Amino acid sequence: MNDIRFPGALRGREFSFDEFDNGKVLFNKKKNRLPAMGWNSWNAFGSGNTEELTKIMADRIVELGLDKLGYRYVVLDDGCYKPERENGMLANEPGKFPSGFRALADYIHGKGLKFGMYNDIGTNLCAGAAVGTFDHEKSDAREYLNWGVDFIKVDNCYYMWDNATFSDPENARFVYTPRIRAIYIRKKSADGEEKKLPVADDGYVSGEGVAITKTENDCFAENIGTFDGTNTGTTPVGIRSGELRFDVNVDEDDVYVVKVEYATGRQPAANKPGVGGWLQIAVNSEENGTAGSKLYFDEMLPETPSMDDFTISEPVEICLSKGKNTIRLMNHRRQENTLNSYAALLEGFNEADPDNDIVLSICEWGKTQPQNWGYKTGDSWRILNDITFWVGRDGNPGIGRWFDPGTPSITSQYNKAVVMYEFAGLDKGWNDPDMMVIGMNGITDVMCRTHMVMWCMMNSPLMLGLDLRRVQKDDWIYRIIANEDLIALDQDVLGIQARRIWTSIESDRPDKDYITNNDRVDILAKPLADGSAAVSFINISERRRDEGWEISVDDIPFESFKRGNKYQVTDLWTKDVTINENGRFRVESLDACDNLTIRIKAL
Amino acid sequence: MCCMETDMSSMTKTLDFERKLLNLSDTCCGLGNDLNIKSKYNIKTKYNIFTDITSFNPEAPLDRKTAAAYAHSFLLNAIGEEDEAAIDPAFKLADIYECKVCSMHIAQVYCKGIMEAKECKDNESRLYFDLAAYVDETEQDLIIRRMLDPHERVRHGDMRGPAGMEPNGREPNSYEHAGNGSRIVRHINISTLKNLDALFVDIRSRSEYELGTVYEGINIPMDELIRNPYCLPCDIEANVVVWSNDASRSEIVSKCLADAGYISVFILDELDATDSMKKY
Repeated sequence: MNDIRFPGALRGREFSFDEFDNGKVLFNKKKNRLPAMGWNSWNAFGSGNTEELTKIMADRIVELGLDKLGYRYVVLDDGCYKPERENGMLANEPGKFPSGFRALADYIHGKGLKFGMYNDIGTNLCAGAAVGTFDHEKSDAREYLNWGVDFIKVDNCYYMWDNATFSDPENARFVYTPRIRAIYIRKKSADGEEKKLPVADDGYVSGEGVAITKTENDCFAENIGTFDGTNTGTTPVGIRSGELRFDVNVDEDDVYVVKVEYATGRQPAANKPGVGGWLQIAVNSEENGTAGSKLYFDEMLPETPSMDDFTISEPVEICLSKGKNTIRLMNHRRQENTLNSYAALLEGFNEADPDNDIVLSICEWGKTQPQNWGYKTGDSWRILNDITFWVGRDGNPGIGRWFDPGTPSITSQYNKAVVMYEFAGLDKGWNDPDMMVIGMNGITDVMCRTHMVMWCMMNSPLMLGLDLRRVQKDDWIYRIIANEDLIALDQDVLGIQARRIWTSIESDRPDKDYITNNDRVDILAKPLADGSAAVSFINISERRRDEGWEISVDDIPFESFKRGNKYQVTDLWTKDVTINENGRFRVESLDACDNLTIRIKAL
Repeated sequence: MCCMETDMSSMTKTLDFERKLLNLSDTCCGLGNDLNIKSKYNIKTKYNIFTDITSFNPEAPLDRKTAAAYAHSFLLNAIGEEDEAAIDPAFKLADIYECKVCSMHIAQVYCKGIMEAKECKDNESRLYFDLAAYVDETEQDLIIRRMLDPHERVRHGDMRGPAGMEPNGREPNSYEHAGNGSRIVRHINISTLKNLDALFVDIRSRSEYELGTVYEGINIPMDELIRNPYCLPCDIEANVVVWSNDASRSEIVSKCLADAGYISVFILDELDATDSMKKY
C-alpha cells in the first residue's frame, strides 16, 4: 500500500533526474515504434462517448479505408467508467458501455483494429471518476491486458504530489524547495568550527529559474524546482529546472555535517516564486561531476510557521572528497515523482505480461517537462494542456481554434512542438501536440490542411478527433486526413522530426527559439528514409502574405538528404510533379494560415 | 484571480438540483411524456438526460460549474434545444478554462443568457464565471425559469463587454481596440503609472537596463518579447506597461502584446530618463 500523503523514496538512481540523459529506458520499455495513428473519443464526444458510438466509429474507419492508411487505434477517452471502483477494480459505466470493455475490444479487434483506453496516474480521472491508477497500478494493468487493451492514454489530473489540474494547489510544497538563506557545514569527526555559507556570499545558481531574492537586510534563494510546462509562456528547450549550489574545498576525504537555514511554503510558481518544503541534497565531486553525484537527503522538511520564518534543519551527513565538491540543494521531484508513477504502470503491464505490446501515451500536458524523461516509460508525451476544451458531443462537432493566448489552439500546440525535435525519435518516442481538431467547427479547411501538415512534419501521433460520420470518401475532410503523402511523412521509418530552418521573425536559432508570436511564416524541413526531404512553407498568421520566400538545398541541414544536379519536386497537396534544376525553391505568396508542402528528391 | 467569498449558508446538494430538474421533466410543461431524446440506453431517465455528467458528486454542494453542466445537459436532452454555434463571448471569461470538462457547459449557459458572468473585483473590465461559487435556491429557480422561457434570458447585447472602462476611472489619452477586445493606451506618465496596478516592462537591451531604468519592474528586451509575448510573468488580464526610450519600439511591442491577447497595454511616454534612472 503506497502512502498517499507522501511520495516514497526514489526506487533507484535510474529513476533520478541525474540519469534522465542516460538514454536508458526503464523496465525494458519497447522502442522503435512509429507515432500511433487512430481515433480518440474525447474531441468528438467528450464524456458522452458510448459503446454504440465507438462501434460506429470503428465501422467508419473500415468503411472509409482509414485503417489501410494506418489509422488503427480506437481509443476510449474519459467518461467510460463507473464513478467509483467496485471491489477495488475498474468497472464500465453501464449506461454508456453496457456490454463491458472486453466485448468492445473483441468488436474492435474483429474489425482488424486495435483497442485503446484511458486512465490517470492520480486518484481521479479528469472528468471526476475516482478510479485513477494510483496504488492500483498492477491490478489495473492486469485488467487492461485481460480486456485486450493495446493502447493506454494516461492523464495527470488529481495527482497527489504536484499542483496538477484539480489537485490541491498547496501540493506545490512537494515540488519546490523551501526558501534557503544559508547552509552550515562542519567536519563530523572533530568538533571543528562550523562554517556558515550564506546564499548572499557563497551560493550560486545552476540551471534555470532559481531566484535570489534580496531585501534590505536579507537574501535568500527561492523558486528552486522545475518549471511548470503546462502554459504557453516558457520554452521546452534546455535545462528546465534549477539548483542552488555551494562549492566547498576540502583537504581530504571525510564525512561532514550540513545544516540548512530554510523557511517552507506552499506557493505554486504562478507569477510568483515557487516555495515548498521538499529538499534534496546531493554532492558532486570534482572528478565525476553529476555522473558521480550522490544523493544524501530527499525528504519533506518540517514546516515553518510562514515563508518568512527561517529555521535551521537537523544535520545531514555528507561525504566530501579531497578537492572541490559541489553541494547541490534542489528538488527534482516534480519530474521524478511523475516518472515514477508512469513507471509503476509500465512495470504493472510487464509483470502481467512481459511480452505485452501496449502503447503508453503519457498525458501529463508538459507539466513536468516530460521531454526530459518520457522516453524511459512511454511512447509519446503530451506537450501542453488540451488542444481544445470545446469538445463535441453526438450531434455537435465541438470547436477547434487556430489561435488562443493559452494552450487550446492548433498554433499553441505547434509553436511548442516545433522546437522539440531533439527529444523525438525511434529510440525515444514522440512529442504529442494532442488529438487533431480537423473536422470540428471554428476552423476553416485551410487551417485543417495546415494542421495536418504540421502534425505530419513533426512526427506527432495522428489521432483523429471528429465524429467520423461527418466524413465521406473524397470530401474535403477525407482529402486531408487521408492524404497518403502527408501520412508517409509522419510514418517515415527514419523517424526524424522536422526542424524549422527559417522563420520570418528575427531569430538566431529558428530551430530552437520558442516563438509564440503568430504573425509570421515558418519553413520546416524533414529528412526521409529514401534520401529525399520534405519542406513546408507555413503561414502562421491570419492574413495573406506575399513577401516571397526561398530556400536552397543547402538550407536543408540533414546529412541523409541526397543532393543532385536535378530534383523531382512533388507538391503534396496538388500532387503536381515538377523538375527543378537549380536547387532553389521559391514560394511567392501564401493565403492566411495556408501552407505549401513539397517533397524534394534528387534525380 | 477574481475570487469571491462564498456564503456557506446557502448551500444545497447537487442531488437536489438534479431531482428538481427530473421532477420538471416528469411534471412540468408536458416534458415528461414527450422527451425529445433518442432512447439510446433503455435505462432510467436520469442517464438519458445527464449522460455526460455522471462523474459529478451528487452529495456535494451545488456549485456554478455543476449547475451549468446540469442545465446544459437538460437543455440538450430533455428540452431538445440546440447548442449555440457561436460562443465567442465565453472566450472572454477569465476562468473559462479552469475546469476543462465544464468549459462547453459554461459557454452554452452563458451565451444563452441562462447564467451570467461576474465582474472581477480587482479589474472591473474583466468578466469571470466564478465556477466554484455555490448556487442557492433563488439562483436555481432563476436558472430553471430561464431554461424554460427564452424571454427570461439575458440578451448578450445587454451584458457588459470586457473593454471600455479605464482603470481608476481615468480618461485615456488615446486608446484603440486591437480587434480582439484588447486595447492600447498611449502617453501615460509616471504619476498615472504609480496609480495603476501594473507590470512595468522595460523593453530596452539588458546592457541599457543595467545602467538604470525609470520604474520598478522587469526587463525583457524587445526582440525576446516579440518572439514570445507570453514570457511576461503575469496573466493576460493584467495591466502591462511598456517603456523604452524609443516611441516606435514601444509601439511595435504594444501592438504585439495586444495581438497576443493582453487585455490592457499601456505605453509610458519617453522620459528624460537621466534623472528618473537614478531612482532604480
